[in-house]
Amino acid sequence: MSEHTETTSASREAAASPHGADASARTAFGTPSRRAVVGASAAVALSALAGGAGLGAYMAANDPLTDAPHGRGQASGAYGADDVVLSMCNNCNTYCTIKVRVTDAAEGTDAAEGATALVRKISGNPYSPLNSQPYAPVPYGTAPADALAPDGSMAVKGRAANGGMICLKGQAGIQLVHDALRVTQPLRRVGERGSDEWETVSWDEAVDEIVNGSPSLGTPGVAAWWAYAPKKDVEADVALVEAGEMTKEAFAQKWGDKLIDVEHPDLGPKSNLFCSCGGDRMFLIGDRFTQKCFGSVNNFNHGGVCGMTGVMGNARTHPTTGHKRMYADIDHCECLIIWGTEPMTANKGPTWLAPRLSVARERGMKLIVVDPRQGRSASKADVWLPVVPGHDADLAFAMASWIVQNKRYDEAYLRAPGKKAAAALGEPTWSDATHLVAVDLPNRPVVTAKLLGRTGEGGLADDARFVFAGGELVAADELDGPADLEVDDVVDVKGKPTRVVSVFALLKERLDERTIEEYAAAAGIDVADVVDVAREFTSHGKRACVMSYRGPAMHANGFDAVRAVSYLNFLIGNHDWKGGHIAAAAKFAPYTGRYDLQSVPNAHEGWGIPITRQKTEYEKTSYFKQDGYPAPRPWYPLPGNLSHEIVPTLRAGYVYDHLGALFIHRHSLVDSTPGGDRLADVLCDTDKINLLVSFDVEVGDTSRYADFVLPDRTYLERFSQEPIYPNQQYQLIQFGQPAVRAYEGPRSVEDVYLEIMERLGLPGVGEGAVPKGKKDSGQTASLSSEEDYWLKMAANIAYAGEPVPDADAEELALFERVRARALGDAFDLDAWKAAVDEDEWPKVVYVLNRGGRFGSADPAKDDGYEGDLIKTRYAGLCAFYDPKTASTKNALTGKNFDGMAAAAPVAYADGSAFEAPAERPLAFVNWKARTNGTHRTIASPWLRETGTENFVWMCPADAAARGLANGDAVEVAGPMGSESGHVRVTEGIRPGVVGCNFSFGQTGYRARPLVVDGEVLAPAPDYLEESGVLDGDVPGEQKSGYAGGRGRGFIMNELLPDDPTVQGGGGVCDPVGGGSAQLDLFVEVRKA
Amino acid sequence: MARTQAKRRPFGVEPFSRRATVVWAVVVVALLAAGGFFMFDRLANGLSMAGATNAVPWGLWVAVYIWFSGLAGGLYLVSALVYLLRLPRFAPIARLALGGSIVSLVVSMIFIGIDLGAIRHSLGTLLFFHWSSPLAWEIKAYIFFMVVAIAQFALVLYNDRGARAAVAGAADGRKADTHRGNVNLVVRVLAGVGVATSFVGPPGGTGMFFAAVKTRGLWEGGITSVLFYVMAVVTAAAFLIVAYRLLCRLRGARPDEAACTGLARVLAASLFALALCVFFQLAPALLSDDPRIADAVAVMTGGYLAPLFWIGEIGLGLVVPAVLLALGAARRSPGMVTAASLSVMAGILALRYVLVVAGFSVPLLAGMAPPVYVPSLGEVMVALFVLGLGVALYGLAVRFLPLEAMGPGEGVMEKTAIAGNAAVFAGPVGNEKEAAR
Repeated sequence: MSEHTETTSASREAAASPHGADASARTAFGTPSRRAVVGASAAVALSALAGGAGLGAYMAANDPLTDAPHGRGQASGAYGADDVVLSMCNNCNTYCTIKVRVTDAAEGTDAAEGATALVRKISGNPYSPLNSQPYAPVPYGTAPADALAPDGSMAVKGRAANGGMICLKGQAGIQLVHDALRVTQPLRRVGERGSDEWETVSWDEAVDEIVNGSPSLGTPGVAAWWAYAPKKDVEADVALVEAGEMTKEAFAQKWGDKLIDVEHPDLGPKSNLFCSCGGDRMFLIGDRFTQKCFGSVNNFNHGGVCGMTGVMGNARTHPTTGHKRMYADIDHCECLIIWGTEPMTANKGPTWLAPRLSVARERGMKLIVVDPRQGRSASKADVWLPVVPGHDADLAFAMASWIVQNKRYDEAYLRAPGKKAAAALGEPTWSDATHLVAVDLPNRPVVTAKLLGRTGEGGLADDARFVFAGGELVAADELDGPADLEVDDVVDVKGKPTRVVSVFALLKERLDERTIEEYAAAAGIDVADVVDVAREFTSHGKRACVMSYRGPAMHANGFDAVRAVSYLNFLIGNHDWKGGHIAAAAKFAPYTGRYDLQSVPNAHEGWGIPITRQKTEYEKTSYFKQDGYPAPRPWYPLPGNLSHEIVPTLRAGYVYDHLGALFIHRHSLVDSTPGGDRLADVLCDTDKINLLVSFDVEVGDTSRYADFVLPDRTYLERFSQEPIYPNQQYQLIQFGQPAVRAYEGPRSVEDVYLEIMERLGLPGVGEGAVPKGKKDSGQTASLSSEEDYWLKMAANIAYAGEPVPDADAEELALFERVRARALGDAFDLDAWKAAVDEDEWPKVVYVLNRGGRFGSADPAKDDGYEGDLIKTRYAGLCAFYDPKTASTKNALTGKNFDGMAAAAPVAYADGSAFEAPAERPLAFVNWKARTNGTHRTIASPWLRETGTENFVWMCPADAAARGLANGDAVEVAGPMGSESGHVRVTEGIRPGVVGCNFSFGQTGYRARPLVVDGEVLAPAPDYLEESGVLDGDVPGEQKSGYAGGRGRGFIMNELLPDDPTVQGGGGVCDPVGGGSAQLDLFVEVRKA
Repeated sequence: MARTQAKRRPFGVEPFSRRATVVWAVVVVALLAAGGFFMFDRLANGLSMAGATNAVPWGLWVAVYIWFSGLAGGLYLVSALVYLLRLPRFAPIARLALGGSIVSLVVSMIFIGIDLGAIRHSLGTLLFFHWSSPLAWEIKAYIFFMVVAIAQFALVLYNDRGARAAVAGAADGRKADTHRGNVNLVVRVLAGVGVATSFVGPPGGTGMFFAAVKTRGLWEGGITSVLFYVMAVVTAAAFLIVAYRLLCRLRGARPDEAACTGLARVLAASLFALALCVFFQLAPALLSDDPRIADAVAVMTGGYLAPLFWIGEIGLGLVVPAVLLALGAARRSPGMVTAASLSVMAGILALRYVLVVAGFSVPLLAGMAPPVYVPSLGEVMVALFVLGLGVALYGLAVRFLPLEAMGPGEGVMEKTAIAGNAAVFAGPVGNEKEAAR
């Protein structure tokens, strides 16, 4: 190596002292030539100049703040009208308008597994205001090719923004329609009901065995027992029997084959033994098929386990139209109280309400949320009032007391007794505050012309109400000025002096039963907070409103709670005012116009007592004569749709001891009715339910007990229409239609009903089943297939009011192109065209191409308003006092219900107290998860990724007292048993209250294995378990993002108590509203 | 034989001793072996193995990345003392600085590469541009900076060819002088451009990238850019002291005193500036009490990052080296200076780690839980793996590139070793050609 160390002495020197003399260093770096120096200088200068100029020019030519396309590659992901079917979502009851993007299925029948096309993406319908808030949607007249054209944003943002908004449940529809575990062929049970063992049968076999009986199951066919008798004929003979002109034996002889029970002819014909429960399409399957073709009064939607008590509370305080809901005009509201509802998550619905709430908050709207739990809305509120569950009326009365004591109500409004006086004030509605109640007469009636014996006097109708004005008794409707607000006087009623008190005086009397402090203490809210909120609420004129839903309603005192909350709106008279209470939702009439879809020629009009004893006054029935008070189970004079009463009634054998057939579609009794799987005793009993048929897309928790499971189409494969709630000011109707056919086997429920009805020879099916044109025109049209019905509905929509234009040739071609591609052989253009008249077809296409019909909904044009008023109005009586309620009686006690709301505690049916026992001190509430609104959405892994199970919320103080930490496994002990879950420790729930969301803990829907044709079908995978990730159990810790299994969590309604004071059990209900009290539950939570 | 010799001595660089080579190889293999499994896991299964979360998306890897990118920028700046300012004192470490800068840049890129969720998407940052994207600017400045540094390095090597001619006859000598001068002029212009780029590329641009994050109070503001710039110089000076002394030791040579003193002075001066930067970053937060920044500072000074802040950043980064440098100067002890440099390198890593993680420690929505980040085992092991790659690259660079040489590019007439008596090179340029012939 040493030979290589040789270097010259000069270089060694230089190396040893490289920092020698400056001169040598300069030389060492060399002397550049003049040309080089000039060249380098020029190069630097020119580069700087060119760079600067280039940059300047580029900046001048390009707005630096505009996002230029910078996506990668050629794939824009853009899609247009040819790839789109506009339809309607079904994943919650908001029924959003959606844009379904379809893409071609794999080629070949086997590869495509029967799918005609695939749903690739779901977003909002750009024509619809429901998905465009806070902006105006695309105008209705815009051609689909333009409205659905890609907006070019894909290349910039990596996502297309030319659809409307849609929530995560809506987007997850893809996974429901293409779910590989769907049932695609009719299933018949093997072995006992609930044995989870099935065999496939053909459609023909299934329908035949339903109609004519199943030899293998031994279930009777409908044809074997179904019989109908017209009400008129039966009642005529009953009158003869009562008059002694006909013997009971003769009556029994004549009607024995037709009536369920000749001893109780008012129970109605045997056709009532056919019962239909459904979660959608009930205007068709319930109101038309069951009520008018099968001739059965027993058709129910899920209302009883949902908002029924609230509906009745609203309907009885809004008697002019029976208006059912309490919503606010959020767009102009200045102070909004959200009471027991969660518009950011649900309630008609997140896509429509959430953005508008956000805009309103941005604008400065005050927001107060009353809810034991801090949901999404409460987390955005100025004030969160965590009311004690079941004490909403106390809180409402605390506020009302302060408002009344401090005269913060709108006195002029309250003093207007009728339409005329209201009009003089510019008020669209009026109240009954000045109306008089004859408090000492039976049923405490309102003082009317009939009561006073003044009917006909000056044209007075029977129900014309009377008020005092300046001490004079005058007819309310004739007064155009103020009436006396506080009256306690005596008037002459049919010759007898009778005490009459004004409704407002009754209200004051009611409020004065307790002090504000007492009300506030019962509600668990500080008086100072009550006063602050009441002051704020009464500081914005008409632009303040309470919107409310199931929170106050789903208690055994819910009817009164909702009425009490309503009173707050009445006190400021905010109805129909911009920013006040909204009762709009104008539609384009779907059932009448071109075709009368509600009427059935030669109908079997259903009559008699429903199995739920709903809409029936006990005292007017033969059962009252038989049993008197107390009745074994409650009767419900006012509400309907009490589906939760079916099973307990059959268990008790009261009035109905069996059903000939129970048909259920898109509704799971087990997942929604108090008791959950405790319903199994009745559902499995073939003597109680002779034939149980379930239409389902999977074998759900209730379908497990069916004799036959008939595969329904998902909403993305069929037509649909459901009304949206009246919380929007625009005129619109959404219309769902098939976007794809994912599997070949399933049929729509209505299609199967039509076939069964045809085989039974019932009216309302086939040629001449639908009256056409004007009433009594004599024209008819046929109803033989589902298209027949739905396209006629589309025609009605198209012609409602001012008819829509005809679809032009381009639109017609687009329509056919899209359907031929998306539906393949499932699309029969000729059959579709034949469903309506030839001249109607282009208008039908116009509506279908737009997914419904939408009036102008541009906030900038003030659409939906007229000056300071909402355009579509309630324009009726706001009733503090309801004489109808006051006249009806509790069938267990024989006592009249109260015409005025009371702040009474929750109670059992017989009025006995329902209190927290010492060993179960925690109130348990439940709510709808953002991610899983119904039992049906459990099939979506996307949604299960966002929420693995229904964690039990508990505040830190309660958790500490029980030694619980977030994520601990717990046992929730209720009155009827316990459930296992995991606790979520959060400040977002009131101390002493726990709760969870529902729709988890299913055993059906392939959460567990299923045996079909002897083959064991594995349950849906639990991806968390498969990947060994254990964080699914800990709330807020799901970092892996895997979906859990379909059976995680627990069915919370199994915890709900049975009412021990009635025969047959069943959950606790509101005695007037009839709804299930699913928020009345006390539990203890222990470490598991 | 001759061919083998030439092969073993690219650019005439002598191999290191067998022992040194073995130690280097063992270190490299050990680091790669230790982190190999975890690197595979990272590449095969993605980022779920890292301790980073949605709330604290940047962690150890980003801290190490900015450490190396700072080193790259700082080394380039030190090299500019020779290539731009032509200060002869620093000539012995000029090539080491310039070459090290390029290698460090590559190592930093690997670190930020593994931090990316979809590494393949990084190409997009080159293909596309957007005005308002700091990242778009930074990545391009990085590339430009790298091109300039590589071009500059190539020209320095190219200039070695003229070294022999310079000492030849007068006529040839003048021609060679002009040629050398021309090349060095270009090198000087490039060095100027490179230094200008250092404001927007590494290290200043990296600082700006942080300073532009409006939502992170701790980072937002001009002082962050200055802090990054100063940190880079500190790291580079410390790195060069250690690397230069290590190389001299391996070659059995005596380090150049003047160069060492110069580096120690650069280190001392930049450390003082760093202390000021740290103070001015934290003091306003304590005065204003604005929670956006005060909360982050509280996490640093009193929260879970406090040990790292006080012991690592303040202790190892500032106090210990200040004391050691003072002692080293007073006692003329090179060992003290080397120890100070090692301490500084660790301290700066702590500073960068604390800065990154503390920046995320304030939740973006008030009321949400304060984010906490602790690197996972896998993250640490992957970092060791990449560090192994880094050691390999530095070793290969110093073995196969004439980083220990001086020549016309550094103002030395003839290519020579950077330490007087070192047995580094086969001889003046040209010898190797002759040998090959």
